Amino acid sequence: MNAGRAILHVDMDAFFASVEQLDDPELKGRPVLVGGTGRRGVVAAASYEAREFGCRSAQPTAVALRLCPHAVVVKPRGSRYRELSDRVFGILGDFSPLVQPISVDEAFVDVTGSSSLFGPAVEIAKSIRARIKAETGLTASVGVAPNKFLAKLASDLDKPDGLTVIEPDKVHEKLDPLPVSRLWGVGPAAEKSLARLGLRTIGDIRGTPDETLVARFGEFGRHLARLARGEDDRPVHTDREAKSISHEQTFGVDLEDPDAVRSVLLGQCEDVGRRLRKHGRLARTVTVKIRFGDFQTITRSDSFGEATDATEAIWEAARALFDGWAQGGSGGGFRPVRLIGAGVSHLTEPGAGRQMGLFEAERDEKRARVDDLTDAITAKHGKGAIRRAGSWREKGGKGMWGPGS
Amino acid sequence: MKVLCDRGALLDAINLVSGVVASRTPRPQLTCVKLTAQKDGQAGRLTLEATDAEISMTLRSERVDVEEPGAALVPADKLQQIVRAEENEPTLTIESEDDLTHIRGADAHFQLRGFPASEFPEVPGFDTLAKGMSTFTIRAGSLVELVRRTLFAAARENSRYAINGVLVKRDGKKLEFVATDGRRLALCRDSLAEDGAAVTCIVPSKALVTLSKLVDDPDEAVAVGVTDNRIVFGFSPEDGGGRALLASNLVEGSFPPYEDVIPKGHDIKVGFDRDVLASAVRRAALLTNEESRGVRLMFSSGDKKLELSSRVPEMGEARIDVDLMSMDGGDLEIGFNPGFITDALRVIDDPQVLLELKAPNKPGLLRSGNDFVYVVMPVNLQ
Repeated sequence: MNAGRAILHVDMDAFFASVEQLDDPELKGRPVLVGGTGRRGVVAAASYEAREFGCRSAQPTAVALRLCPHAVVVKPRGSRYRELSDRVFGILGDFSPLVQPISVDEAFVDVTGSSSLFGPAVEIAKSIRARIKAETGLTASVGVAPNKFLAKLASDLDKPDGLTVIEPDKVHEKLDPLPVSRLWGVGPAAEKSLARLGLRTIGDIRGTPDETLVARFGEFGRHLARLARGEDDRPVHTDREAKSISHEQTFGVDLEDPDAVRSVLLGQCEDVGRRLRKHGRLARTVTVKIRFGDFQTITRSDSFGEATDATEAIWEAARALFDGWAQGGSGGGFRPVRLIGAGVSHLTEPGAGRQMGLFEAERDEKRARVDDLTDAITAKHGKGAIRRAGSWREKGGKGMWGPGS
Repeated sequence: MKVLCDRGALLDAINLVSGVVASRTPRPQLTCVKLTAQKDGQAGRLTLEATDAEISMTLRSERVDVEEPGAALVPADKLQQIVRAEENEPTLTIESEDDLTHIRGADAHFQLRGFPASEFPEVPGFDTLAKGMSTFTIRAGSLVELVRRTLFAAARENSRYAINGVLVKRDGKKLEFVATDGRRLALCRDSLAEDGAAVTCIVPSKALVTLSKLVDDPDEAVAVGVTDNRIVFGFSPEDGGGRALLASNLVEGSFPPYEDVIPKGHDIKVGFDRDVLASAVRRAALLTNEESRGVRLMFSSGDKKLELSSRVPEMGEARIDVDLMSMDGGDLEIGFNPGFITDALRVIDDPQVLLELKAPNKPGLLRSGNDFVYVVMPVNLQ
């Protein structure tokens, strides 16, 4: 790998399931499902042995058990996963300060500046894999490429326990034969629309003029064209110390209907909650940001007694803040809104010990079930596949890309 | 108005009323204390009044010589600072005319600008306040005990329930105080001398903190009156006008269904020495932090032992062994926020405590006698 960047995508193999197999040798070589056992339980991770029977994460446990009746179902042990995850991230941090966690078991590492110390990117990838294996007993698949998109794609090409390198001069050779669904952001819906244009492989897209794609898909088309050429200049963000998570949206026309603003806010709370859970964090504070046509901006915050990652709790707090403003109160009374945003801050990691509530036990369990289910569906089918009734968003994949769509 | 005051008694009274003076208010009159001097034959009396619009307090001091009856409205913080600073003076003279008040010691003369006394809101007396109220009388010592054993469990943050106060429930001769922050709950009972109509209300925490400070002699009688939106406490009500009067708005909203969460019937009953348990929990709590708050309690019934352990990743861990006085039921491992246990042990006077448990995800119950119940939800240790 010569000039340009060297990015690694490190992806732990069937992380939760592998940890369970590691800690309980009796599970080794057997199909293992980590997830809820109840009637509405969802699979959080399936071991490779279980995947051979068609079991996948995000499947209802009952379905997975029908596919593989002899699978062992294990309840997730969050603190143990976090402990091993911390160790893995510690190893990554030894090779570069630029580590971007995607979730507990997945990260980008920018090793462009590390080669003078540790040798070429491929050697770093080998060392990382060896150290993870030696220090945790787990395996990771690593992709090495000039950017994040290609690195992630590479790590996925040879799983589990694989190492795949996409050299800058072999990008087209690797990409062209792959199906369009491998492109970041192409879900089942986009795949269908592309197929209608006869575009089935990444090579098909690369062979299509940018203008055609832009005319058909707008900004998303430009994004597709770039990815199909293997271009992606997103930097590796080290948001490990993320202090807050927020979503905001600017409207083309100021929204004059409080209910319309409320539904956007609900959608944002869902996104914020999902990202919190994905990063395994809890939040103590919720903030709502409102901007008006004259660019005056106000924010309102409230804190929880107990840190939470429940979408419903975030939404209840955000709605109360919004309604408090909209219905008068301090400096309040509704007026047309140009921008609305929901955010959480004072993030903490769930340590060993979540305080249970006296009056909320049932409600908390229900909330957690709803969140698990929507997260699983979102992970599988993409954002917007499932939302709370009442949240409003543009349909289709476009919403993910357009700036402030 | 002109009055000669015993400085110590005046300072005590000002310190008490200052607690309910409004700090930030669009009405500067509410940042003042109203002083009223009355003369009844030879006996003089100085009344101090303050309110922050939520709570109002009236205090009476007899340790004064009233030369000229009248009233004054004086900024509370300055008045307090002056009376406190005049530490070498046994007495101070307060004289006021319209909105100007003079405070004189042997070598000092302060002039404080306030407001005409007529601009202060009327604070009615107990009889006016309690008219048409459901009332009962209780010993001051019993009242402060009910507060001490419940208030600590009240919520400090907002919640969808009205729990940033204490539920006061009177039913016949039974009186019950209940407080919860949604994670633990404290309930304390007492019995009244007289029967009376049932009444339930939620009293703001601040009013109860202030109330406790007003208690001086535990045997003093306190009359308690409750209306739809207000509670009134009258100290020594028989004694013509009363020594002190505290009135507070009530917390609006509904208290959670607390009776449903007090567990009935437990499988495991553990007997402790209160101080041994408190010490063990405090020590185990040293190896907890904001993220790893739980202390793990492992009860083994066979050898009647309890092992407490705690752990903070990257910091370290602790283990404390405790001998149990008694234990019925099987082994159990359960996690608790250590502060929630020590809080309760602090208000239990009985040196022997009974802890009742059911399962790692079910509440624990601490009892002391028949009048104190404490329910605490565990921490999920995974």
